[in-house]
Amino acid sequence: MISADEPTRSAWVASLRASPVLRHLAEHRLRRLIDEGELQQFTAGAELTRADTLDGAVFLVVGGACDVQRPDGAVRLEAPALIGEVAVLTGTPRRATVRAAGCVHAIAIERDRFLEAIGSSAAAGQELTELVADRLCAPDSIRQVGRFPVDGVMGEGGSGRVLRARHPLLGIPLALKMLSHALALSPEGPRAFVREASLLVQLEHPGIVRVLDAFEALGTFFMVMPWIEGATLRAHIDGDGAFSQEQILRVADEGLAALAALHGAGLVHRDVKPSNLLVNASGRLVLIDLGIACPRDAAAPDRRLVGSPSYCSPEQILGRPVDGRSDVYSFGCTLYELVFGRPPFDADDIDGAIQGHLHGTPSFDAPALVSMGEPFLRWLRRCLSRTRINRPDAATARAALRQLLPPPVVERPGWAARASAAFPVLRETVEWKVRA
Amino acid sequence: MSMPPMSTSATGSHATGSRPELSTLMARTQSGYELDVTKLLCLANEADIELAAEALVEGLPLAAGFANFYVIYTRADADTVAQMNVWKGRPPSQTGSIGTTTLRIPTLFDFRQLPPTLTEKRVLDVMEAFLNRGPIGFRGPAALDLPRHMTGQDGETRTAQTIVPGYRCPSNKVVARAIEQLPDRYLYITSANLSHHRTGIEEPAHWKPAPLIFDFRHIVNMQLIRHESENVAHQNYQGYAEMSTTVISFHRRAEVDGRSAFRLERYGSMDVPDVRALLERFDLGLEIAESGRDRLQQRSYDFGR
Repeated sequence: MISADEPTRSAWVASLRASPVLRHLAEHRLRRLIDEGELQQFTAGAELTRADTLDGAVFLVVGGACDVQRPDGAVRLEAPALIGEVAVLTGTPRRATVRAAGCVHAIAIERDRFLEAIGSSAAAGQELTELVADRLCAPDSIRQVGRFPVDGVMGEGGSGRVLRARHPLLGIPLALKMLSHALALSPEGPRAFVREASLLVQLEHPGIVRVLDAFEALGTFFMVMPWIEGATLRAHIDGDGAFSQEQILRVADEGLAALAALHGAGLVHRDVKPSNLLVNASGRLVLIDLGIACPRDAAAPDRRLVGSPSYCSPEQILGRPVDGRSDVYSFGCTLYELVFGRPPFDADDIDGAIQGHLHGTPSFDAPALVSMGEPFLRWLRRCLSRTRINRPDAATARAALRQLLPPPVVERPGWAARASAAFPVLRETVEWKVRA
Repeated sequence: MSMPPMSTSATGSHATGSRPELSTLMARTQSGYELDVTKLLCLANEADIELAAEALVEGLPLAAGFANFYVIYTRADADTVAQMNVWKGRPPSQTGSIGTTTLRIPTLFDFRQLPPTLTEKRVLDVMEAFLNRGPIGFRGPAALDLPRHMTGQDGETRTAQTIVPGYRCPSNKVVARAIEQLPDRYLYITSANLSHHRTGIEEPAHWKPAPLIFDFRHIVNMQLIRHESENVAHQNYQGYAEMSTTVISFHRRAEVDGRSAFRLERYGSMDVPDVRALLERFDLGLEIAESGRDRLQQRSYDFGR
């Protein structure tokens, strides 16, 4: 342990707390970081860090002053000061060269210790994710993660960020899902990610976004997915206004087909909501953002609530194991919003939404944006059952829904069809040969 | 955390005026929002009772408000009971007590094996009187179909022990709703406290939900349905201490002053003079068993009352 009197140590802790990421950590964590560090001495002119290099320690300057040379200019830092924490945490090259301005004493803290400390705080993890995303997209940054050039951040949520990237060789657009550091650094995070990614890579369904690859970088994990042109249901709801009855039935049918496939593979999405359902260029519904998908019957560790409060099922709120019926509930909330223009429990705050899911009953008497008929509303009510036992799974819900769909339009065979039926040879490709 | 054993007179002082409400235990959501897990489900709400029953049916342990304190229910299959014992820090093979609805209580006992000093009608009348008052435990000859892990042994007699909150407690609805959906007519019930095997000290049952959840935080899926108000629960059972129930038994022949008697197996929430007075109505005495001599401890909390 590094010996110092209490006021000095408090000043050091305060310097650590000045970091945007470390400020979320508990006092004892910050003190432990200092205790586990190594006190080093630098003579005037000696380099603490060099720009564009990667190395594995952060320096807390506790005595003396340093000159920091950045691309945008030079500054002098007096002790106590923290140097290089963002580069170390994100695994990106250092942006500045730091030299001792005289005799400098600094505590070197290893990267692994830092990451372990960040893993203890979800807020610190979220902050780090934001920092990494900003760095990736900053004008003077490398704008690359793994082998993929990054164009920008396209979406954000509790589970991470979605980046728009390009294939390095083919130039085609891709979506990179960056897992939040809060999840990546949690004790079970890496193993859970690998398990889920390996299941998702094998999933092939037109209604579920494909996962092409996965890799680790910048202290977290990334999933590589094709970039899908289209608009989410959220964008449709907020922009175009009401869906027609036929559109809602189609959304319901295609959404449940995708969910049934996902559940068939042993996974639960856990975050089905309008912003995670995308209508692609050909009008097909695609389920996206599988960032917090988990194996069925898994419970949220540490009683952590995952999902979106307006759409999450009672069992998710209560921290119980979830299965496909949880997704059916969330999808039911989404359909309810399409029909009535608001989620079933439209509260101003998280508490209100949670109380609604646990204790409330969605109103089916409210004025609807589109008339769906009593059988559909009865079916929807079942999907929104508070208890799982009364709720159908996706396949059963879809089978029941199909009873409500209008019969498919059968085209009367026209002349060409009749002719084809009568003379099948007409439809064959015939290779004529000239007889010699 | 625990207080020394309370004297009979000390329990009378429980009927205090208003008390600070329970403390809370927060869980953080993924985005940092704090959720009070102790307030999610409440016995005053029918929808919550349905959700709590569902948890039991799905095999999850449920901590529930029970008269004026808390218990933990689980399904009564051998594996779940053994698991719950381990979670509490007890030997996995420890015999379980039975939680069931008031109507099903008689089905747990084999009244043909009653001692000659008691009749089935007399025992049922006594049960009725105690259930009207509040929480109580009954031990008697076990019905033949009860599994071994839910029965105990006293000499030659195989016994069953049921712990029930009395007619007035809304937790009966949770138990009833769960049992309707389960193959068995009973649940496993245990007091909401860690075992002294685990902590090395006597651990009285909890009567506040937040510390209970904290003690059992190692059970990831533990569910909790709380009293609407700790104060109201306390006031509803005047004269009962906030601790595990008193248990009376009727499987052994017992006589006091030449009269037939029940035995006091465990001295818990209902005070001995009250038990005696109630039995007196049926011209029955109360014999104090060795295990019922010292009263259980009541848990005290460092915060609030």
